[in-house]
Amino acid sequence: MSDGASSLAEVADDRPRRRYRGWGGIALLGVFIVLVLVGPWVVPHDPLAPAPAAKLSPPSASHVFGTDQLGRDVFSRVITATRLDLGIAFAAVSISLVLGTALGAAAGWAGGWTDRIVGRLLDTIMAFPLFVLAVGVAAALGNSISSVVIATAVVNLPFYARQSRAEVNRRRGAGFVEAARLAGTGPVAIVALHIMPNVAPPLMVQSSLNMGWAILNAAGLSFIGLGVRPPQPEWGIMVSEGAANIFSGEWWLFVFPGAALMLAVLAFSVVGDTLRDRLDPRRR
Amino acid sequence: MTAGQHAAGTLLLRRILVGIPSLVGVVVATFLLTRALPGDPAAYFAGPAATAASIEEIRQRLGLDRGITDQFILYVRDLVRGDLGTSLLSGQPVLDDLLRRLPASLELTLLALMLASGVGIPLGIAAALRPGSGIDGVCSVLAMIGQAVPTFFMGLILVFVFYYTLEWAPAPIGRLDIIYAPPRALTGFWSVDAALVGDIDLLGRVLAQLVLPVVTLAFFGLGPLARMTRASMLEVLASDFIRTARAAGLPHRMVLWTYAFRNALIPVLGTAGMVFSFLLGANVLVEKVFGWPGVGAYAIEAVLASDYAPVQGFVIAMAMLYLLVNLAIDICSSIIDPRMSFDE
Amino acid sequence: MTDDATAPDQPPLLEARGLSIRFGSAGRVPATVESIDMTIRRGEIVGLVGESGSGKSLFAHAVAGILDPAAVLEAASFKFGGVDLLARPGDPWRDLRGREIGIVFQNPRGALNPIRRVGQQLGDVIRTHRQTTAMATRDAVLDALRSVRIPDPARCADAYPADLSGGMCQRVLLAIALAGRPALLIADEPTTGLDTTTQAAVLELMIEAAAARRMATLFITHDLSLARSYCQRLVVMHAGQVVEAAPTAGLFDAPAHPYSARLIGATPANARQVAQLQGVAGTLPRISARLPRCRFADRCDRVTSPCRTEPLPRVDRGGEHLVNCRHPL
Repeated sequence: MSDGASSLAEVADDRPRRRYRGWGGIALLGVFIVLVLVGPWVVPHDPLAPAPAAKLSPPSASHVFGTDQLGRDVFSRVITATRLDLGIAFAAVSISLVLGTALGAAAGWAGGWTDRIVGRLLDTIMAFPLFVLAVGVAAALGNSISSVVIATAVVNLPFYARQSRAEVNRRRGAGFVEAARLAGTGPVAIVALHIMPNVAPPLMVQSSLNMGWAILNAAGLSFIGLGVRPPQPEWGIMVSEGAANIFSGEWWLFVFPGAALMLAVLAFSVVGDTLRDRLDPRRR
Repeated sequence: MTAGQHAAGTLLLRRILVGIPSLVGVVVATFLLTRALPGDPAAYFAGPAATAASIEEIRQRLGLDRGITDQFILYVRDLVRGDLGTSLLSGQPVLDDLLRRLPASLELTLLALMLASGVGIPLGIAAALRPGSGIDGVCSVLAMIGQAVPTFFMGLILVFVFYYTLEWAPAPIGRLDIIYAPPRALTGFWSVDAALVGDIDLLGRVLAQLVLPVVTLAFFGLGPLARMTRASMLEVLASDFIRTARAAGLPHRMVLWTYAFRNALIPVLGTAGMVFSFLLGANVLVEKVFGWPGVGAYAIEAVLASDYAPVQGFVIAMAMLYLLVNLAIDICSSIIDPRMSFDE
Repeated sequence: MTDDATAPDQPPLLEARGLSIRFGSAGRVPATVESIDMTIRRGEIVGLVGESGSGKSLFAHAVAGILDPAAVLEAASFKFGGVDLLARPGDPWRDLRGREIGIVFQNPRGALNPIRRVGQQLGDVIRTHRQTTAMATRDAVLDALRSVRIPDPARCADAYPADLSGGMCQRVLLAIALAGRPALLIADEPTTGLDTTTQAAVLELMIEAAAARRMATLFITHDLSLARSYCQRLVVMHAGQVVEAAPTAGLFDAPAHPYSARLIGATPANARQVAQLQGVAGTLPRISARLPRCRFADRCDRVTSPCRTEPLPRVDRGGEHLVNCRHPL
């Protein structure tokens, strides 16, 4: 009888696999963080220095990822770009997190009209295909890195706002909240000091998953030409520049930055999933 | 009008009404976006090559010299009339440009959605029927890759492998090689048009150009659809009414399809809507990689040329499309699940 | 004792001996249901009683052939209608489900497909077992609904489960269970969640159907007073073990197992005053813990140390009254 679902077998089977994946993700994430911190100092070549003589050479001992159209070392550029790509995503997610959580908390706490207005705002954001909205916002704010950050932040807002609103709403009537209120604590302090610590874990999970998404979003925007300008090394723009050389077979120009993107997103996703598994009481 | 038809009519009306606040939100949001332009919005719309006089003219026409409420009224009036402004690059009304290019994009999106569903849903069902097995593993791996790989990267990899290295796919230079004449424009979907006209050779070439971009797009819809199908099937298969059906001796196939699958499909429809929204966004990237002459490519050109009206039109158009698709999905859900017509 | 026409010398309809069901491998986890002996004759109404969680439903699922695939069933003997369910190749229940064995559960509304009309669901079952044409199916559906005393069969057939009351849903489920004209009907807590009047109506319906079709019934309940009113024989279960089996009157007159005595004492119908009601001390032991051989040991006031370590003895009190206890009353 193979048509039955055996939840016992399924959960039991997954656990060892999940553990390896979790540690793998954390290790990968660690590598990226190290690159963000010390990247520019450990690169073998200057990422901005053109060397026309060596242009478009395939991966070799001296240029592990090959060189690009201007003879620049792709490996150094990929490493250097880590800071920018992760930095943009981090800035965007931070803004989303703070703003979204605050907005959601206000809506969840106050209820009534505040809740309704915030709800409408979130619904409006989610009524757009998200990348389309990002393009619109980035274009409206002008072609710069800050507009990419803001666009990504806007698009990520609903995730945090929804979660925060739900959690605050749920705890609004709880005993410890009542106690704090009776003690004279103002609403902002109650939300910030009493409720938020409980909400922090799911928000952390969300942030990790969102980092991956933000990286992709920002890279997508730079791929189509918004935000980052040459000669600045950034993964999205490197893929875009490398795309033109596909027809002549110089694959290393787009494969390595693209792989870097993929690995970064994967690292954040796996860590986010692991966090979620750990924090979900049902899975203990 | 029978009771059934009356109920269906009310349902449709209610679903449309629910969508109206979102519509209003979209209109307001896009209005605010254009007014958020740093510097002088009129100069944006007039373009980088504009003279002071043409900027003034644009300012007058868009009402940018008036109060914000007046501006909004003008904006809505223009929208309702279908006036989305004029593209500086093409010199045409934006609406015309969009309508002309929309079928190319829609052909990609719809085919990708069909492919993603056609592969993802069976995959999800298979994974649900054999939890913890190889198929289940494939399902999760695909879902994970689909989330992590950038759309444009996937497209480029496919081009490199299948066009450059293996030479199986044609050059990614758009819908059709220029030496071939496109089919007669009946629907705008060249695959459909070629089939309708009966030109098998042309159909083959059109499909050949479609393969790589559609697969790229479909890849990202696969994960969510497979995962949701799997989760939904697992939940339904564990439910009481399936137990009744099996205990009553109903044939295995009937239990699986008529009873389990139909019920499991309901949340999958919702996921399909979400995937569609994602595909509309990913379309932009895929059109750039494959040189596809759709609305996404149109918007990108406009953005790079600081031609703002097409970008605004593109954003509004995509939002409207998404709202329409959501409405359609809601209606389909209500048809499959009569319970939904009972919620007040 | 037995007041119907079933002759004790006829082969039983259902025979289970030493039946155990476990989740996980034999070494690590004790069986959830252990060493059940049960015999049901044609036309007999047997009650299976015990607290919630005592394994009654699991046993019912095993008999009906809908056991969870993760569950492992072992038995010395497990036969239905002469067919050896342990030795049969392929799916042993393939022509038994719905056709020879019907089952009704609790929570009637949840047990029906919410997005399919009730008449269609009943029609599906009828068509499967009787191979009727579309026209004939429609008539058969209405007939079946009428036979479970549903007032407006045509309207009920077109309705969705959400439109019907709990009692109506349960009648429909009964119709579904009876559609294949089974020889055994299993009713797993069929009246839980229904109000008393509906309870009585549904039970009357079941008894009537059983009598009319000479159908055996396995009536599972935690409500002893119901069991007493409707069953000819009772089997008492505790924590996955059968502790006592006896004709109903015999069990209530002279319960042999301390647990049965307690259960009877806790039944409101038996006490003349509230003060006489005594609960059963303690709770069911957890399956994962180290279990004593007699799983009632920790709640029993007659327990001695061999109760925990030695296999349960079976004591025959005569007149088909069996008790599994070292110190029966």
